[in-house]
Amino acid sequence: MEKNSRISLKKSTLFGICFAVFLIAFAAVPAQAQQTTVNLNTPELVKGSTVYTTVEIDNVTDLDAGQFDLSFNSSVLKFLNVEDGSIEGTKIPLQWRLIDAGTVRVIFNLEGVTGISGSGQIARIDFEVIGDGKGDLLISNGLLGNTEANQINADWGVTAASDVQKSTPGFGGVFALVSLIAVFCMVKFGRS
Amino acid sequence: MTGNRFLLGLVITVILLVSVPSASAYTLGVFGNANEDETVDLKDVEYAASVVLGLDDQTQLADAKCDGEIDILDVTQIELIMLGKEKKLTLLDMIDRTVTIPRPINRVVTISDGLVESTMIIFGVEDTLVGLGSSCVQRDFEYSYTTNSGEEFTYSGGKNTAGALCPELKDLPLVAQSSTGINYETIAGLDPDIIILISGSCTCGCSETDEKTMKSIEMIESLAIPVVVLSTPNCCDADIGAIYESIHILGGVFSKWSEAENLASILEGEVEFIRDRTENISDDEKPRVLYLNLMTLYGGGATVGSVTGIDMIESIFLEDIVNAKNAFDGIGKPSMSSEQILALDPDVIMLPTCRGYHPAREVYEGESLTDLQDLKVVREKQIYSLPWTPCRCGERLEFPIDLIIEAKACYPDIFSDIIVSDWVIDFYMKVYDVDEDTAGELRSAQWLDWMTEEDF
Repeated sequence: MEKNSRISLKKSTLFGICFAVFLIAFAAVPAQAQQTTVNLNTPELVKGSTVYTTVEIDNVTDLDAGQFDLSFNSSVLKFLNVEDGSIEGTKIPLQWRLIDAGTVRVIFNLEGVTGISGSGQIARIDFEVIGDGKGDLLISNGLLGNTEANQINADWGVTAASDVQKSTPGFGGVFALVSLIAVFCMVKFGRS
Repeated sequence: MTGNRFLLGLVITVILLVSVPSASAYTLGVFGNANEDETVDLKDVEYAASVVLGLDDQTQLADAKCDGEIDILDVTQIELIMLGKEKKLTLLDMIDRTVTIPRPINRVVTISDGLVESTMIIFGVEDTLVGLGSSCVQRDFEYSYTTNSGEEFTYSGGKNTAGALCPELKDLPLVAQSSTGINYETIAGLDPDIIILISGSCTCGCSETDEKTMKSIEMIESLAIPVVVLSTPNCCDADIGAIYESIHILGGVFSKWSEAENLASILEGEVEFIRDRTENISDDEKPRVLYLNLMTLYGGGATVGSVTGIDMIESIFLEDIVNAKNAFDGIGKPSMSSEQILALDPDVIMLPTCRGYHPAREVYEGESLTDLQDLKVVREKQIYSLPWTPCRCGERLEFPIDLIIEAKACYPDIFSDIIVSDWVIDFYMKVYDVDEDTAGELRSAQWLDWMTEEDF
């Protein structure tokens, strides 16, 4: 009798822990949604072709201005042009300059100081693939400013490799795995 | 040989063109004035963006956020400054101090003889004034004299134009007066967001030469109140640009950029109008003008008053802008007797108001000035009273009126198309954006109605 009670208590505790993990996993979703991220997306490089590298932005609020440097391997990629982006239908007017053979500096400043919120594309940078090897595309000195001339905290760490890209589980993958384990545990401990 | 002469002439011309300073060659010391010109505008946005891209040289003032970095955030800050939406503004005041002022500004104390107050009235921010540093802005003045025939004349209703335009200034507490020090307890009690102080006013002497002024600034700042120091031309190597710079800085302080630009342009335009008409007058055509600062209550003693030397701001403006000659080639403001003044034998006499108001007729017929009545200028009626400007330690917005009176008095033919009494009305209407009746009241407050009576 006492043994059964102990087992039942153990199961209930484990069920509770699994349920808590499940709740925490869900609670983390909205917090993750607030983070502004900037991604550099580059298609596979094929020698002799033109590649369109895009700088994507997600979950930004009151964006007014920004700047970044995009460096590249100039023996593999030949810089062609920078095209204006668009966020939620608002054009992002860009100015750019090649500050050295392998770096283009891009800045933008939206008209007025009303700002824009949402997700979209900041810029498209076009290259011609002229050689073999790695493109070494990398964003640095990234800075986003809001309508009060304050820095917007953004995750600029996502830089797509321009050679062979290895897939790694992102937040979504981890979230799905944790949730699956939690549900599995809840079902198992709930039955027994 | 001819070619060499041509080249030499060209070189000299270029050197002269480069070396003649522009009347408005100054940099507005606001962090955000990226291209370091006279104002903050779209050109600064473009310049700062260009600096971020590495296309233009970095400037100190391009760092609009004053955080030691010039980046895209500075571009937004400049836009905010232009729109008056910035959270704070950092500027270099006219004695090169970096001052950060808060936003919004709701409570202002001034230590000025009228320049700041008048400008604030034009900007429409006079209701933020909570304390003044000069009783001359508030007072009504009266002056009387007796003629040779025993007739008494009284001039009343003389006012500082700021006081005339805004009678409510009378009710504001005084934190200082020209004859007393600054009352720091009164300042603290008023809890101002900012103090605007004019170095070279009657309350605070030029900061470069008056240690007390610098100590006063330090004391006020120890109360955690930002102090913006402006300066008068007499403290700035007689540079008339100091007036325009003061106006532009006030425009920045109150986010009235276009109003400041407009006001400075009006004043600059009047100065250039006079300069353009007189610039080609040769030395032998220039009349000799004496600034005679008559004593307030002259009772027939040895000293009639003082005269203004060539190093004084009035004289510099006279010689540089009106292009006339000071009859007294000494320096300072030495006292003089009637005999000394007779010996100077000027062609024109100007009566400034730094020692009280004096109408020309006081010299022509005043019973205490009979000794001066042998002067050629008395016989030729070439004496002119300047606008009533109480506590005139520094220039006010009305300084072009002095210049046009001097110009017309010295060169009546060149300015024959100018009726100064009407010109003054137009001036007030333009500068203060007032109607003709109010402009007339201002002319009366400056005791200039003699111009109408004398068809001047």
